[in-house]
Amino acid sequence: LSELAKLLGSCGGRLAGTDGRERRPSADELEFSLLGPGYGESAVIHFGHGDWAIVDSCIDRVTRRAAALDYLDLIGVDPSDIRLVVTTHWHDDHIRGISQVLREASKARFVISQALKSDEFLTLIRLVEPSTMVKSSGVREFAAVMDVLGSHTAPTFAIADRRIWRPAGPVARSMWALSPSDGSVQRALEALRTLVEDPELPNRRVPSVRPNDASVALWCQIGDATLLLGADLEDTSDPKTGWRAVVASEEKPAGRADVFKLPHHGALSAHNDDVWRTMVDGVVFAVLTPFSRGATPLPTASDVERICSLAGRAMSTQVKSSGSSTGWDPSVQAVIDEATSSFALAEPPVGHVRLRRAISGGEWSIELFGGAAELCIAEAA
Amino acid sequence: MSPTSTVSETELAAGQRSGTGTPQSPDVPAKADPTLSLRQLGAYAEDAHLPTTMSRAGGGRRGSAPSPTSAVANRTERESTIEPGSGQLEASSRFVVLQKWEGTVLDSSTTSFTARLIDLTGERPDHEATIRRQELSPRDRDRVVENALFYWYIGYRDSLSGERERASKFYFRRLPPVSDLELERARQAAGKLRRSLGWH
Repeated sequence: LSELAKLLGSCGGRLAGTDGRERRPSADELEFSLLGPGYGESAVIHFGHGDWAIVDSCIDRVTRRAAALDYLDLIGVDPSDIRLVVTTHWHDDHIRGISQVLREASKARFVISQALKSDEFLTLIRLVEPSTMVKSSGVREFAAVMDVLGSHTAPTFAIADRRIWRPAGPVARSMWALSPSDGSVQRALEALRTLVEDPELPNRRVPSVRPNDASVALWCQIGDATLLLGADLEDTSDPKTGWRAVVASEEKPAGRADVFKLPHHGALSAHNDDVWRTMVDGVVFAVLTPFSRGATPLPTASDVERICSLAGRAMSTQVKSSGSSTGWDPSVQAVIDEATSSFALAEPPVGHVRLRRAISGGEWSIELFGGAAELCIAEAA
Repeated sequence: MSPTSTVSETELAAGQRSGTGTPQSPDVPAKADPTLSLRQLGAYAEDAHLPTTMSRAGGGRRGSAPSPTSAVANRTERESTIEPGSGQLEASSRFVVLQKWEGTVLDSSTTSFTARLIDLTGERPDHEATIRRQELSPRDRDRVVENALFYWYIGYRDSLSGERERASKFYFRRLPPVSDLELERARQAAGKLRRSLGWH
């Protein structure tokens, strides 16, 4: 993130504050909000007429609550107005707090990938969940989800080209799953099988299954506005999986997206030229959450350059660094100082990119809160 | 003082940190964390945060896993390398835990590794740290791979002679592979879960 902040500083990027964040959209105003602290992602969508959806979940490090629930509280939305809760995949950075969301959004339809309906995934949950103490484990969170589901409506399983929601009303509104393809589900099952057989499973945080081609990419239609949410869907060399399968599908809804939630934090591994060429508008608003964990944070400088060459405008939910850590017992601090070469908070506060527009049409308004920033200010000017 | 220059391999194996081991005044305030013997500390790591080998189902293991009793025996043997006469050690040497984290290795180099640390002492937010490999016992260094799980304790070691020194201990998980029996039970539980959720 600090590298990203430097990059933005060098090209005139700007940070934003929090003024007006609490303003609730009117009934005829659509909203796409992306929340992300630097490790984690959650999208909040207002489909109009008081119908809300939450896609994935991340935790606010201060409140320890799902960031989407905090935000909806702030703008005065009751959890009973959440119609849809979607988990695009089970990785830690997309699922933390989703059981909390489901518990509060008791009337919402819950959508998960078809790949997770498998015996392999349920076995993994039952194998790992009783023995793990890994607080951050996505599998552990999913085990909590299963507990909530016992008193919840049956989930909807997402697979490519399936319409998963279409509410009644005067305005055309719908949500489609664009993935996973049958080929991606098959690959995911094979990966899960390998994971269950791994002799080091008890000694590891359950690793991410790569590539992320079992993710649920979404297509949202609200009047004449279209949102493309790329989840963590990656590109592969196999035309039957990942973005290539999405592009090749003749069953997916037609149109071009006005807003593109970039897949996999803007990484090159999730880039597909044909998606940009055939599925998004030429002046699309591209929005991403960064991934600040470990030695290879995303997006990289070259990712930003590529994104800015393709998007009308591009925004990141967070570019601030996480900040230093203070207040330890002096003896603990002494050991930290000697044993580590760096020691810092893992995440900055949740940043927020918010796009709103009248459902009937008109200009989009873009608001950036809490560390969110334009990625390519020159294009925005 | 560099730990590698002054600390024996035996001490490192026990996680002793003479590098930071300036004896402390006995009246240095310690938080209300449990005061543990070294043996208990090992057991604490296993019992409080890890599935104990004792509680794991035995039989039909697919790997060359130690038996439940041998896992305990190994731990005792390891502790006996801290100082001779571990019987006395157990009775009189204590580890006062000030801070404990659950860690996940994110990536590593030849000299250090980066880890995500989750606070197990209080409610502090997650931290990310780059930790020097020389802080680990030699036997743990080859455990530093992506996604490896470990526990990090910082506290005071009260020695037999009444001295107190700051100490730091890392425990990397060394659990046996999932047994055939455990796998079969997980599959049965998954089937039960599937039926209870009405997933067909």
